[in-house]
Amino acid sequence: MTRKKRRRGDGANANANAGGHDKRAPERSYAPRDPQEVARHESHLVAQVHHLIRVNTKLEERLDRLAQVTEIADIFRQKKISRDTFELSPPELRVPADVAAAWSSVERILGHVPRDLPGLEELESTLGVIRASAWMVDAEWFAEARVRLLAAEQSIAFLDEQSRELDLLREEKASILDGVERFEQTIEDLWKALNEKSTHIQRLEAQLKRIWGSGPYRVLNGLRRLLTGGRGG
Amino acid sequence: MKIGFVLHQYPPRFSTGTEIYAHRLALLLRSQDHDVRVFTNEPDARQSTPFRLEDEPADGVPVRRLTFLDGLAPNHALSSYYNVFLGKAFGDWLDQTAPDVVHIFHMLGIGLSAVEECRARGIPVYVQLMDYWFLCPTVQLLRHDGSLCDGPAPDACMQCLAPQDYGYQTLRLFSQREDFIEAPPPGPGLIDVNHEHVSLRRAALVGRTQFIRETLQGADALIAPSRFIKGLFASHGYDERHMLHLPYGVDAPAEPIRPVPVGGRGQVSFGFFGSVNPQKGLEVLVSAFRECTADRLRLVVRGNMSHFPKYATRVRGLAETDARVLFQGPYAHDGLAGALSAIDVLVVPSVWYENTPFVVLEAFSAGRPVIASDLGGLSELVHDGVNGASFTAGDPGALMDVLKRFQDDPELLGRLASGIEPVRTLHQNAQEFVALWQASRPTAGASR
Repeated sequence: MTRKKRRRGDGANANANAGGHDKRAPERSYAPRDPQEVARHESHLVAQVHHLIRVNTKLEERLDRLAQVTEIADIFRQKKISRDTFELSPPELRVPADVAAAWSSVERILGHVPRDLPGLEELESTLGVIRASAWMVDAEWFAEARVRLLAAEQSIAFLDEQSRELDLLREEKASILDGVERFEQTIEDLWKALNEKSTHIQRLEAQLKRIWGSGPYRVLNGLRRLLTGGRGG
Repeated sequence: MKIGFVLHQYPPRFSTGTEIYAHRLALLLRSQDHDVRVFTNEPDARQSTPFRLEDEPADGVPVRRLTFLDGLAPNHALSSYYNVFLGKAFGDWLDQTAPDVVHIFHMLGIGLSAVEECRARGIPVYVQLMDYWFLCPTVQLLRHDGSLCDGPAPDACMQCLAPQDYGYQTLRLFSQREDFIEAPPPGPGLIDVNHEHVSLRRAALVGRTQFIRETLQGADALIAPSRFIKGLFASHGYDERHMLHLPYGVDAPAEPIRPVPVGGRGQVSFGFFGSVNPQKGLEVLVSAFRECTADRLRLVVRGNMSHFPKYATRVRGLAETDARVLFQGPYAHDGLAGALSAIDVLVVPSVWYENTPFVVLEAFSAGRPVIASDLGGLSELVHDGVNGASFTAGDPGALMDVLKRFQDDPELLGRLASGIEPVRTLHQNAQEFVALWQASRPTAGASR
């Protein structure tokens, strides 16, 4: 995140080179700002920066928590979720024990029936069809499949939620950092302007002191006292 | 001339009265070789963007759009009208675009610091009083119970703000506690108020009116579109000599409009155009219509019913069995001429102090008389018996009497239509602005 540094001058042509699209900016003088306004801007910006730093710290904490992949991995371990969780063996087909026993009884009874009984062949064929359809998928396999599907669903939702929040926080953090950077730059500019003004005032004070201490001023002051009878000055 | 427009939201995503007015003015001025550029707030309803500055033009008008999440300001009550950081972002835009003059339509979401930034650069700045936001944090000078408000008072304001805003709810709760320590009155200039402490948030609300008034003194002039709003601001301590009365102008109808029928006993169609919300008073109109059994009258409602669904359902319920009332949904600005062609009289039953509703001017421009509440700037535009009729705001009985007059007197519609005076056009409005801006243009090198 880089930001082009911009310096704002106090002179009449300060706008002319400001990084915009306009080459010819109108010539203007910057009006001296009301000292109260300068103090307010400074105080408000500093408060805003502090507030953003606090907000940023909170965000950092949340980001750190979220970014700890090991923590997420722990959660997965606790939930017994791994790559294997989503792998499922092919279903196993079985004939249930009670159906197998019933079939044995039928076969036993059929062994006692005379072979010339009318319709016996058709009966055996029909029973064969019933037997073939007795193969069933193990109920445990279904239960396992259901558990795995649920776990997969939960994991996907969890990951989705985490990544969404992470993305949002990243964006938020980037914007805040950008804002902080701008604030810092503005404050830096303000301080610089204030320092320049203070230096200027100090220079004026020194100049004034020099004038007061100078020979001509002392002579002028003496003359004035003489004329006013020591009341003036 | 290079002109900077500032407002709280801008097309294409926002298009109510102020935005359309500013945009059409910008397009018109650009067609006259003026270079208009816009700085606007771009509210993010989802609140997922903390801060963003984006350049996105609208119909060729360069627009810088600023989005800022309220929660990022330490003092929400202060930031709602004054935010130095946003002022600096605006200052950057001023440095880049270097306008000759800045014209501010609205400062919601940007703040009063914009005026300071213009002044610091010696750029003339004009502020147009589009509504009452400078006086009332909820904009409309309506109390939470719907009654008219005389002006700001911190406790009363908090009562209005609390239902809309969680920040003010907590502020209200805290400041009602017995152990709440009131911050000393904010010093001049609200210097040390930008902190999240509850007493300073309250102090920001307490100091709002005075601070805004003082800061607006830094503008070259405040432009009042109605005498009513000028008088209202004057009654709240604004210097009348610092305000100019400059009424709005509107576009002439884009296509020919059917003239209103003169005489005869045909059907008379009344129209309600605008947002369907309690302050616009549609309920008063529908109630009046229901009571009025006149069979020649018809009411066409053109407005968005989804912004205040409960209210809209109630109004629809009132008109349910009345086949004379038709709800036809909102219209696009381009479809205004067609919408006005379909009615004979516009009704503006507002129960708040309307400033100067554009729709009234547009109706006049299309030769449609207007029936309006006797409130605010409406009374200035609508003259009873001349270009329309007025009635006591919020009184369905009084409105019903007015509606009946159209049934009983077949000549009334034509008489009122002929009493409509020519409406100031947007072109005239733009010329007046340009003259004003040019008069205040700084001479080269002059210090302001």
